[in-house]
Amino acid sequence: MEEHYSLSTDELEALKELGNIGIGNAAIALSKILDKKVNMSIPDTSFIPITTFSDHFGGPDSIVMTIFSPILGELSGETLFIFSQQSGKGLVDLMMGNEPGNTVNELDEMGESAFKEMANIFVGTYLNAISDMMNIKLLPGVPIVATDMVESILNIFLLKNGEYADNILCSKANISIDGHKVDGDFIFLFDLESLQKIVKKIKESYGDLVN
Amino acid sequence: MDEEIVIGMGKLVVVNQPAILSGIGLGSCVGLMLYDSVKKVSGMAHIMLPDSQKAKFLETKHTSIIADDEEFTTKTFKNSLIEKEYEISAITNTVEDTLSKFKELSPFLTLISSSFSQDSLNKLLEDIFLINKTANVVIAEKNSKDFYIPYLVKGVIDVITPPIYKKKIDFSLDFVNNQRYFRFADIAINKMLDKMYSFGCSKENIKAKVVGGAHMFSHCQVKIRNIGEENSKKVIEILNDLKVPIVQKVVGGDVGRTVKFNTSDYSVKITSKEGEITL
Repeated sequence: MEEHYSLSTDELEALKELGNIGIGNAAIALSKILDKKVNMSIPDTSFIPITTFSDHFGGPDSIVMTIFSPILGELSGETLFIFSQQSGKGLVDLMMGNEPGNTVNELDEMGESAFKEMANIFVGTYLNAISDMMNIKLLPGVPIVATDMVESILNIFLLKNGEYADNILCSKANISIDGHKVDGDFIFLFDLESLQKIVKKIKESYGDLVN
Repeated sequence: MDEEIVIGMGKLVVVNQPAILSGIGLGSCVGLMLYDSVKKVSGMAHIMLPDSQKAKFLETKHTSIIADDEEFTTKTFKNSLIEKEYEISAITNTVEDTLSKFKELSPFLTLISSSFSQDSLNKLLEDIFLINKTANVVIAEKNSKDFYIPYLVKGVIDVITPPIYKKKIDFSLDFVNNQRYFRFADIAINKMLDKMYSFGCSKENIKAKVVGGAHMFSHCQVKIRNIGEENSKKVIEILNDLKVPIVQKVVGGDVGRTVKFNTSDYSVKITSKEGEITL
């Protein structure tokens, strides 16, 4: 497969590791808030073709609940939570201290705010871990909630990278909560300039990876 | 029921036979449909971004496989590929050989002549797309003029119909070379018109329908780039400049839409989470 950033295998490994640490921390934070065991898979970091991106999330027209939150500060990128409607509502219920199944209709203001708060905490912790490790400033942007077809939302997520790449380097981790039917994905990516910065920074701090 | 060709993000398809062209989950993307009811040629592009000016792609290595068991077409293919600066990685003449070379070399382009039997060709395509869903495959259909929609449904980029000569292959290669730019409004419209002219359309008969360009995150306090509006504005502006009349347009709003374009009567069906309308 064609890859449109020139990354060596070692550089890709380093990026994967960075994702792992960030996600690990974020999962712990979410567990604490919900007081439930949150399972996170090891993020799968790979190049995904734009044209088939939505196939990884249940097909282009499946309706999903998402929270979009940009990465701000010294790096720029995007994060996105994708839940099925049932899972998303279940998660909101857990945040509010209810049993999943309580929220049936559209989210009310409180629900939406709880959903955003979950994203804030998760993305905040994730970025904190990365900034500590790399000694750079990173901040989560204001989270935005949208419920619609997967492909229509992914469009915003893929926008910046779409200007120069056919295949996008993206990390994807599965989130699930034990005993409750909450199951979704957290995906994140950095733009090209930021990727180059990260690789440079890692090389500076940990020496040349190729030896 | 006509066969449905799904136009993924950044793709473009033009046909001169009855089919359903569908753009699924258009958010800020724009589904542009052009059709010529005289020549019965229709096309759809799934546009993602307004302008190719800022695009900065890295160069791709253009490797290719030629699959054909007749000398004449192989020669024609070869000449065109060399002119377009493709590297010819392999020339195969059986279905099995083609698949194994495809697996081994994962070429940028696979050019297949349909002198193979229909069944084995279908099987080959299935196997290829199983290995790489976004493989670039062009078929040179030798046997029949009318049978090419099923190839497009499977995911083939372009089909060259008989008689096969160099100019047609050149045109097809140009289409493949440009396909990564089809996500940009300016290039998508130009290439779509070129493709329609190659089917014999004339500009006076071409009409347009435009769907999409929503602002997916409009209801939040934070400002998010309204790329949907940029896309639809750009598409409409280019069409106006070219004097292509827009007969229907459903743009803006804040919902994702799925659009199905029936090329036998040029009707458009739009589905969103709010319901369904037929235009």
